[in-house]
Amino acid sequence: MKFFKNKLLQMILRRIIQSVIVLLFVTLLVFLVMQAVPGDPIINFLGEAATPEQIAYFTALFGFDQPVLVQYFRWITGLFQGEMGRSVTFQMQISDIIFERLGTTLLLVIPAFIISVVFGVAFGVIAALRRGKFLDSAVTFFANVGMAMPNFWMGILGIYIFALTLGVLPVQGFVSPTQDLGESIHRLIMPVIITASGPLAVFTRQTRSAMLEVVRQDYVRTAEAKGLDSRNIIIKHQLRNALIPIVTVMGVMLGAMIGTTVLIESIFVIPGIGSLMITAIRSSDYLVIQNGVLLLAVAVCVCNLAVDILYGVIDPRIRDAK
Amino acid sequence: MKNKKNKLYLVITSLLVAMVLTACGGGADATQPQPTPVVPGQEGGQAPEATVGGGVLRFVSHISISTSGYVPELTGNAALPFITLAHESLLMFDEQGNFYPSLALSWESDPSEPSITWNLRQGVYFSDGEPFNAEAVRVTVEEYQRFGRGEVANVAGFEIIDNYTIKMLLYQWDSSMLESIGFFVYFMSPVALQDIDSLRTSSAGTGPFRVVDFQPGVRVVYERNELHWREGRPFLDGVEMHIIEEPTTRASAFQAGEFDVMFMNSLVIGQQIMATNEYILLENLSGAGLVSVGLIPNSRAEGSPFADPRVRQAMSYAIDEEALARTFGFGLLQTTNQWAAPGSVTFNPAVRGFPYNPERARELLAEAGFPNGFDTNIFTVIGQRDMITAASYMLEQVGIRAAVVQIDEPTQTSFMGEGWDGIMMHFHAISPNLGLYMGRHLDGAFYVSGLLIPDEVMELLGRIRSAPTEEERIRLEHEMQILIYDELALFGQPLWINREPVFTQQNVRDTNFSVRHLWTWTPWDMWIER
Repeated sequence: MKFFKNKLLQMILRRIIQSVIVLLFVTLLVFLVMQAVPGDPIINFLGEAATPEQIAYFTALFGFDQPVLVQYFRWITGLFQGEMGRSVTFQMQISDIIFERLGTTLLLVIPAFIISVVFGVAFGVIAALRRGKFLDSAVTFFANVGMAMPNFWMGILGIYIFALTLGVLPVQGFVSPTQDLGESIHRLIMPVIITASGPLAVFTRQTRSAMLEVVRQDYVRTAEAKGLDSRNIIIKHQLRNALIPIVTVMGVMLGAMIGTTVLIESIFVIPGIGSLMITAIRSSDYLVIQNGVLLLAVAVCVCNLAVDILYGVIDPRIRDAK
Repeated sequence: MKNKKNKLYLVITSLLVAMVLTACGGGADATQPQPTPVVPGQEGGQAPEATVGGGVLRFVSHISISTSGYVPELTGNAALPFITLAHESLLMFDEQGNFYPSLALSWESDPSEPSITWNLRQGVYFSDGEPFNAEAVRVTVEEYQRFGRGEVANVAGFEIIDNYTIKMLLYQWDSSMLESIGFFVYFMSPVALQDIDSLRTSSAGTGPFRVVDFQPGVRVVYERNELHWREGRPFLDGVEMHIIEEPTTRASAFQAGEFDVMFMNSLVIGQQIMATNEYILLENLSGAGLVSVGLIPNSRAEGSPFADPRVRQAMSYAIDEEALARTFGFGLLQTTNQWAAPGSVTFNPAVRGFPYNPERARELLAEAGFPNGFDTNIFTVIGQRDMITAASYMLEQVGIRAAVVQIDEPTQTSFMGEGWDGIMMHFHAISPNLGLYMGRHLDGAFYVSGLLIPDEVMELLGRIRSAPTEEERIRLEHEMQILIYDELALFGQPLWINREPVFTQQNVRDTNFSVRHLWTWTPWDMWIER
């Protein structure tokens, strides 16, 4: 009973239930959209030499000849049993493909997220503390560039400068860290930095603005009057109070970064969820697309949930509010 | 400095193009026992001492395969570069488009029985140690049948004459069977076929390499098959087949030296790579395996103006394919007026085609009852939009007002299967056997629903398929070219053959990629100069 009296846990439970409803809605939406989109995965798979008999056989084998509702419920019940179905293009269990590729995508996204948060917040604080000075202008300038420049463009510039001209980084490819850690890092440097660049710029701008908002607050002036050292004031009084809008942006940006992988993974040939989705879309592999979109939706829901929990941790007023 | 500038231009231009794109034999006499013209594996290549250390050849393309070892599932020609590393067929094509012995030393066709008898090569083993023999041939062909492959549907049964001679009994004589069975069936170990799940991600063929790592959509890694039958072959230690769908990255990685051979499906980027003069361009010589492109009108839709052959002819006269090829082909397209590459055995020089003549197009439209023209659609995917827009302008000049409608690639594929309302691009393989290749577009699954096919076409197709001799088949195929194109314009206007470029680094030797057949090579012979 104590569990249910804990307001933070109540909030988490409430948000999980909301997320499940959202995810069920997503499954329905993505399924209906895929049904409406033209294209036949079986025809794509069999190619020009396909015979009508072969097409009919494989259509029945994958259950695409079943009524739409039957196909939908078969997919959903499969999900509850841990079955995502079989990919027409890859002729493998989709869960095997997706979870293998998810690990690769996370190897790209998690370091990029950490880099963007650490450096973005640090640069934002520095810019706010040096407001109007050269350092502030420089940080703001580069943040604006980072926000304005599309990822794919930075990717191409990176390939041209660091791979084709300087020859210090490879153009493309992925090596698992378990296979060769050094080579894995070598190949991930450019895609991670480029994935991080946009969010880093956003965090820098957001942190700078939030810090400037709190720097003139009474409690900061009081802390200064009490003679607290400036490091304490910045970290405990300014940054902590500035964190709420930054955490909000973190949730949004983490979701966006996962979406960005579609482009980054294609450019740098990283076999993650993003490149899988591109392949599946090109070959009309409905089930892979459905499960991939669902996975992205789950990721966004988890990010939002994490942000809500962090709100509660950072600000007790939110946690205790009804 | 200039070189760097060129590279930057190449990267930028190709990226923009790629972004837009992202938003895609004259066989030997079929009736006579064939002599063995050359011994495969001994006809080319260099002395083994030139290849000390072997090395690993890295190939990159946009092509992906769903399995590395269960070959019946790999239906498209584009899978052949993968298949032929680890597997072999009974026959191959030579540079002239003729058949060339591979696992079969000779063959004898008997249209009267009907049957084909194969004399198999001895001393050949699959990479799992199992012997290649008549029984292995039977098992693989039956597996192809079980999978529903059309190429072997006509095989009624087998007579194993001895361990290395097998007679295939046919339901009916079909002149395309030599190519269907001889070239499109790749043999797998009968023992390995007992565990298809394992075979899907490995390989058990007689080819020069065997699969050691299969990552769908990423790469397939092959290493030397120590049991391969060609003495001293292969020269290489292994081959890595990488898949990069994004053409800009593919080209950049190739230019950075990360790959030895590159298949490029973007003409714009292909032309830019050619312009550097730093790489070797491999070109197809036989006309086999190439893809031809045309504009095909739907003649079957209810009320379609294209039901009248004169309207289809008018459409063809209105298109200036030479201008389109010049403008959009960057020197990599070869125009044609029929279902064949100029110079190949199926090419009929007597076909007049429809050389650009807008005046004649207007006359034909008037004769067909459309003196003021008519409205229709012309469908395009994003990468062809400029060319299709130019074509629609040409059509408008004669009164065919074709609205350009952009569709995505899956929609285009569904149109091929289900029909379309107006004009669309027509893609087809032009290997020199109309009974097999054109036949797919007359009684197969693609394009057929959009075509009003006269009985005389099907009757001639039947005669081609049942032609008792190679000469007779070719003569009938030439007749078919005239009937389909000059008289009926059934497939509309052929435009060009896409000689999709394959590039190698300067130190790569004897791949013969695309030289004999667009999608095949001689992996046992290739080597990397140190």
